[in-house]
Amino acid sequence: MSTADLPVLQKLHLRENHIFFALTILIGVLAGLAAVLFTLAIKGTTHFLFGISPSYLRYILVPTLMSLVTGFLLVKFFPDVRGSGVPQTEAAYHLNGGNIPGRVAVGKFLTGALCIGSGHSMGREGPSVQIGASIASSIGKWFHLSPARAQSLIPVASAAALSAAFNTPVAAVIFALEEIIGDMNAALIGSTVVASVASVIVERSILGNSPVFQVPQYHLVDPAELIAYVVLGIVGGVVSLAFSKGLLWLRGRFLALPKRTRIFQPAMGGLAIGVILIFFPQVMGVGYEYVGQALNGSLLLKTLLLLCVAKLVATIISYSSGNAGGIFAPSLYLGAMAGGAIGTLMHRFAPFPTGDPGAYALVGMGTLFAGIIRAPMTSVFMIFELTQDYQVFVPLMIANMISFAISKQYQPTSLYHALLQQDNVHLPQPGTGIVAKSWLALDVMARDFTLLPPDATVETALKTFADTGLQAMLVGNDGTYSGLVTRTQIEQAMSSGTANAPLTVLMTTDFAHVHPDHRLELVLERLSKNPGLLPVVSRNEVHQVLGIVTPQTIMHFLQQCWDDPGANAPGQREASPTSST
Amino acid sequence: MQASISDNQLTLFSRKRENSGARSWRRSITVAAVARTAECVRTKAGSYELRLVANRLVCLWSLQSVEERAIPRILNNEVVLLVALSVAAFGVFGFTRTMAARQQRMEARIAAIWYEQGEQFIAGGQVEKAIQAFRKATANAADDQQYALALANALAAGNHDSEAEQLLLQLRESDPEDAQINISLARLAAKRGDADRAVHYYQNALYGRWTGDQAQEQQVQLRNELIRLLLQRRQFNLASSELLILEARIPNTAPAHVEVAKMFLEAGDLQHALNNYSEAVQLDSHNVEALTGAGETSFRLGNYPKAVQYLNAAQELAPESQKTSQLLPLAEAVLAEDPLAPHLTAEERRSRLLADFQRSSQRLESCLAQTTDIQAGTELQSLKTEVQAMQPKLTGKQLLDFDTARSAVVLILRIQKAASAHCGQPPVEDQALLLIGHEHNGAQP
Repeated sequence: MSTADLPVLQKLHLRENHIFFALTILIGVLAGLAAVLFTLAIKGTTHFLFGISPSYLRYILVPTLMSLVTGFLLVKFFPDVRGSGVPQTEAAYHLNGGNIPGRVAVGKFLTGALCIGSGHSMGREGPSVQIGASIASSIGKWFHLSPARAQSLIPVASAAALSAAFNTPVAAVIFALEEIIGDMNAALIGSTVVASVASVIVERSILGNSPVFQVPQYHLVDPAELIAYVVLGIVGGVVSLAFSKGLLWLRGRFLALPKRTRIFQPAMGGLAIGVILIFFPQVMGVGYEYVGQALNGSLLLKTLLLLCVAKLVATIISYSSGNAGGIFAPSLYLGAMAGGAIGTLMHRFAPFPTGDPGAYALVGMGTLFAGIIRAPMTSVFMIFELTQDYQVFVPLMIANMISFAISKQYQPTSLYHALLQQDNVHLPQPGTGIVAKSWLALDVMARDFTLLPPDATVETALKTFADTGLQAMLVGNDGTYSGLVTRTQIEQAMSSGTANAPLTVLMTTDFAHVHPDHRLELVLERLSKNPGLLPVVSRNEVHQVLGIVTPQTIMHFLQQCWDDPGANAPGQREASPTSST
Repeated sequence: MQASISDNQLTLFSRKRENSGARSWRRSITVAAVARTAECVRTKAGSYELRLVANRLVCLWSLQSVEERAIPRILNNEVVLLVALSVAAFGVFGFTRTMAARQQRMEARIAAIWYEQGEQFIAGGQVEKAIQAFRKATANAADDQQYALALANALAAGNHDSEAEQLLLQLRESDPEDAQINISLARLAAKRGDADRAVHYYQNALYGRWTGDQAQEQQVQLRNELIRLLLQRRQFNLASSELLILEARIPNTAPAHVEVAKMFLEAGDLQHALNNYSEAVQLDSHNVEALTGAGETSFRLGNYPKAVQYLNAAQELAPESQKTSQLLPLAEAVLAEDPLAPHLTAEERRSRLLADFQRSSQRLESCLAQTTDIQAGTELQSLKTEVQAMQPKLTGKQLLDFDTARSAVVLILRIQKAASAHCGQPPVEDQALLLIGHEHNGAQP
């Protein structure tokens, strides 16, 4: 039976991009299911270990004993699953081609549920991201996807997992682009959106449509209130800084301990957490219940301040001691408490009308998230998805910007990257869509060039080639090209006895060009495909030649840079060599 | 990595095939196949590439051309894997739903326990502990309206009005016709002094959706609350409207009618008040409150015979009643002194009129002697002049016509009013004359 007789079966031959699309949806579903199961596992573990009204002894024993178990698992079987999961996912994406072993999903699920369920002050979103990414990586291997496609599955799965874990599909997509990939212009927007939507559909069909928080209607009472949000931004920046510095410091201390203590470090943290829980059981686990109370203005000022400090200390201890869990939820918790405290103080002492403290708690969540996680766009969209209210944008962006700036000023490396650096992993610095200054075609092109007239003969062209020393030249006149000839073509034409033939017979029209604003990487890539010459043409008239790029012009440019480094800022070079050098 | 055999190699093999015998040819192919397979395994070639290699080698082995033998791509690995993963996803979905349902059942049980605790705390007056318990209940069962409503009511009881209101408004958004939610909002608004909102929510509640066996009794009670609020705000017309509705829905008992009558009285609707008091008396003739109320209302309506009847009955049952003691003598005095009362003989009429006139004159003299105010004195003096002018008409032997009698009664009224204004509260007999005067002021025979 020949293939021609199998038209239907031929349709079954899937190209990789079709497979990738199908996998996007499938991974969205699976990551969403994994995130939901993880949430259920945490809740079930908490209920099982603590019951309804736990005693003080239980508060002490449960985290300590469970951390002994998780410490053993983390050291012996799952060393990759300590901590949040987001830094590890980023590292896998940028450094390992998106390769995450399948056992990571199992290990993170197990240890994460045990750690967070046993009372550690950690979040579930980061672990969900790592679990989803691990599942996606395994699936990518099963399908033998190309390395680029396999790598692309990581942010897709991350968005899906976060979407289900936090019920904010748009913010999840933004997070994947902003944090995992580090580039808001990534071509994966479509895939992450599809996966995020699939995931959130699955999650809502199982857990219902109830939002994570019952958020009150937000409104700005008075324009002067923006001053209060500036204060909130400053406080948010300071708290973010305190959290980041404290976490890195204590983790550094734990890492400095002898390696044989690694198995017991989580339990040390567990014991400390147990003591804290006796006084502040509200800091246990994810703590969204209390975030909800802060958002509704139910907590007194003293309670807000105490819980803010307690949560900060508890999270630092839980994370630093090597337990498995994230900092996403604690950031929101800290933000809600700090914001609520500022709101209460403003409500009492501000000389202008202010809104309810709950509104400040809401903005505070985004502010601390921007300061700690360093994902300001994610923060804005997340809060918007929670409130469905545009009015929150302005104060949120003001407070976010200030918190972000303060945090970045005194802690230039983001927390996730700093945590990786403590493990001797260095990631490339993420861009957020602001393109760093780069050399352009404009900088390396020669503006002085020769065009061979179309009616010129082969013999004439050969002389010109000899004079210029170029390997290829453009054919055209009045600054407009119509084709390209190479020295090899001319020499072959001469040797075959067609010296009087016009260049229009020999020239080729199928070659690449660039525009003046194209980056140097693109220039080099296209130059490598052309036979020794790349025309730089105008965007307004694509046949109008503004200059040419050859290996010689690039070398000349480099020489100039070495000779006078300050004279050649990107995109600003005026002087240019002649094309013949 | 090139796992497949190139066309050049195929050509080479074809020439070799032509030149050598079939047996040695197949030996070569076998060696080539083993070598090629080993290379594919080493370089981890995909399954498709392996099949391609195998296919070409099989072609060569069987001395067929590649075109004569195609790979039957009946089963495509990617499709199989996708289908398998999809089936697995369905399975995981089902499992997750089962786990979620189990978790929800567990949380519902926990929520019920916390709710019970909260109810106990509320009953024991420990509002803050109740709030914490209800919070736990709602945390475990976020969609349960009963728990959320209990929390809201506890918050209101604990003076966390702002949070209570927010929670109730959120509940109302999802179920605007629920009576209980509207009741809670109404009470909260009333507590905060926002009477307009309170009235709005009360009415929403009354015409909302009620559940339970005691819905009717609760509605009556609620309307009671609304009416009290309206009376407090002196919105008597609205209160009267609601009272008329309430009147039709109250149980037919004396205490219920007495309550309604009181509210009618407060709203200024004496007739309806009297109706309800009378109804209450008919239902329970020994109800002191009903008898007193009926007597008072009758008195205020000017129906003194009825007033005396009710008040006498009330006094028999409760002699110490202050109200009865005040009203009864007055009512009796009115009946005894009214010269224009029906069914009087001419002599009786004249006798009463003269007695009333005499008393009023004495009151006038007494007040005139008492007052030091010039304006008052002038007024009283003027009245005295009128008295002197009227006196002969009353004491003369001619028949006393109604107009004269009425004029005399009006003069008596004016005297009593002036004396009350300038010389203080009159004694009972003079109060009676005031009442008589008011009653007949403008009356027709």
